[in-house]
Amino acid sequence: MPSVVEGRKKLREILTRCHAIEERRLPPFDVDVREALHETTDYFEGWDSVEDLSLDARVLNALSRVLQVQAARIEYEATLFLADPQMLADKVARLPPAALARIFLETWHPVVELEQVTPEGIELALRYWESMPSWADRRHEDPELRPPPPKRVTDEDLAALGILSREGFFSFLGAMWDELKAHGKVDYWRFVRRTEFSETVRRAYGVSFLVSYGYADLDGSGDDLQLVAKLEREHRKSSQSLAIALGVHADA
Amino acid sequence: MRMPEETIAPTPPDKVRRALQLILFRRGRRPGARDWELRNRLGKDHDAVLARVDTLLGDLDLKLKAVSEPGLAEDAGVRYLAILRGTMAPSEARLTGWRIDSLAALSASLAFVLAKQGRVPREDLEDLIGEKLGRWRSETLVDAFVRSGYMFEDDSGLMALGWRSYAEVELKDLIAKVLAAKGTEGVDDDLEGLHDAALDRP
Repeated sequence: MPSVVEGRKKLREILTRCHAIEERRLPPFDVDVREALHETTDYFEGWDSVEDLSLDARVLNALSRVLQVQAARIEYEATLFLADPQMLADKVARLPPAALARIFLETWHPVVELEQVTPEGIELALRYWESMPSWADRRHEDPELRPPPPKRVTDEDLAALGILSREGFFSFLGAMWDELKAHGKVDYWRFVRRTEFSETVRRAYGVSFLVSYGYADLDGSGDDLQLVAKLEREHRKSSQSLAIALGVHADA
Repeated sequence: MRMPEETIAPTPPDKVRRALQLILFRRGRRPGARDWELRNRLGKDHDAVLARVDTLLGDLDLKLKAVSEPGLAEDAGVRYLAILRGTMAPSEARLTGWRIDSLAALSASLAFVLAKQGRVPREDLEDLIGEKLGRWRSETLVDAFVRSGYMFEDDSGLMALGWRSYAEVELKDLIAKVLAAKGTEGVDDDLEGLHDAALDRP
């Protein structure tokens, strides 16, 4: 059986090399994972202390991360049209700056952007500046004008702010499900959109729960989304995320 | 200056103008506009508006490009940017404000990071640039690449390609051209002139 001291030394060496690969200081295939695993297996029987077992676990963990790096490298090389990364790195080091610059210019499409102050912007900023009290005035502002100190918020306060519903969330969902069942199949936006934007958001929020909980289906994509009510709740085996943006139209 | 009547483009509709403003004026840390932002501001026909914007930009040798945010999931959306449709001649490159040696260092850095599987320690990158341009300049250049978005440095000091590299550079072309280039290529006269460019962004 190999000696424990020798085993510790070997495992630490493997660990150091694994870390170097993770930190890109060594090429990914500098460690032969299969061979390293055999070595750890050979030494495993000799481990008695927690420290040695912990070292063994750390080596296994590091080897699994090396495997990840190696897999990523193979995947990456495939995307390089079979170009050898080492050859590419050597070429970069050998090419004169002018050649590198020319190559870059041939493949570069810089982003175009504008930085401009408009007369309207200046006018707006000037009005703001003129109406702004001086720093000294603001510092000595009447303490009575400061916002009131914090206080405990009650359920009634939250209900008044529209954050907490008096009717309860599930009864709200139930009412919405009944409404949807009466429609059967309906255009998502027709069902959700209301004159008040806050109400539109509230209904979209409710619909998201109906769909997630399996009380309704959402079919289609883009602007063509159809809501279909289910007569009974369906327990979903898988789920898919769908982001729907809500916003106030600038023309509104 | 008054332009001849036949060259004046028809006034673009409000939505096209609004889309152009959103895309061209920088409002945050990065230029361009996010897809959800354009959808919200342009309404249902935003695809048609963006197609019209692309056509208008095409007349100016520009184009609209949708770029995914690196590091984010594909469904996290894209950012629309206006980029140069063609490429720049060496004599025009000084307009961008980068010196020839800075461009060369950027080109080498991109190819080097790509060759090293997308991540390299900062010191390795500085060594590569420092070999040709000196230690002090290599440090300031790497900082400049990070600041301008061509490179990204994570907390552990590993360098990766930044959002601007994905947006502006045809990376596969760059690799192909670097591999195909002859190592003995001399310095072009028109590139040599750029050594003295007064405008040096970094």
